Amino acid sequence: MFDIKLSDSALHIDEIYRSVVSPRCGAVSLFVGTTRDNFEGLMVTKLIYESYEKMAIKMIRTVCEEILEKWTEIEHVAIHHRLGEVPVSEASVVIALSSPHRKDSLEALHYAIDRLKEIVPIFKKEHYQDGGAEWKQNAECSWSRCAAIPKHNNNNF
Amino acid sequence: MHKVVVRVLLFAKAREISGKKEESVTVFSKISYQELRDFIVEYFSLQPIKSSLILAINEQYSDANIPLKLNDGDTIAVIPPLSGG
Repeated sequence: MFDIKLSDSALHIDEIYRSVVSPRCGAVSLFVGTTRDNFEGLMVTKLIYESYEKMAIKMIRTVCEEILEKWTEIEHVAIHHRLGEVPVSEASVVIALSSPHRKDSLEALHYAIDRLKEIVPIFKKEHYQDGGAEWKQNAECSWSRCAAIPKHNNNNF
Repeated sequence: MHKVVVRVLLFAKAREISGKKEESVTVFSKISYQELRDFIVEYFSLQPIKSSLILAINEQYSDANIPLKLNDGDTIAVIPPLSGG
């Protein structure tokens, strides 16, 4: 039911799609996060991801479980995240969900990527053409400096 | 006061600033989240990111409001802001 993977090599969207497709389901919703070549006018030359793998797998599983609680019609959930260097324009994350009708998988898909950004311990460093580099911070993460909701509140876990 | 040896893991910017990926340290078994965080910040020279890190204990985000009771061999991870996706 859950297909969870952290991968050091390129993600295969077709393989992830096939892992959720089901004869009971009339919808597969798919999100692909890809790496961008620019940040506030700076040219990004390289992006490197690292994770706390053991906890990341646990937290991705938590996201999957939350989805099944909120959208009971969801049949399968697949979340694959790439680690290490990810060239510009390649997929860093792929999420796929199947459900009998499209509404559930479309809504759950939006939740899945937002929640992943909020609680899964994965970190990205951008390297710029001018030689600089920076660890990024998701607005969804409550202890980021750029948190959308400025607080230090752990109740969301 | 009872002391325990715990394993501290450091990720991303915390790893870069401290120059360490992991290290075992001795801490009090009964300790508040804030005391543990302050000790780790001091020990690993993480002052520049003190306000934007969180601790996970045995792969669970720690609740800052509940006093901790640590055991020998527990794993404490220093988690800077997340940027997955």
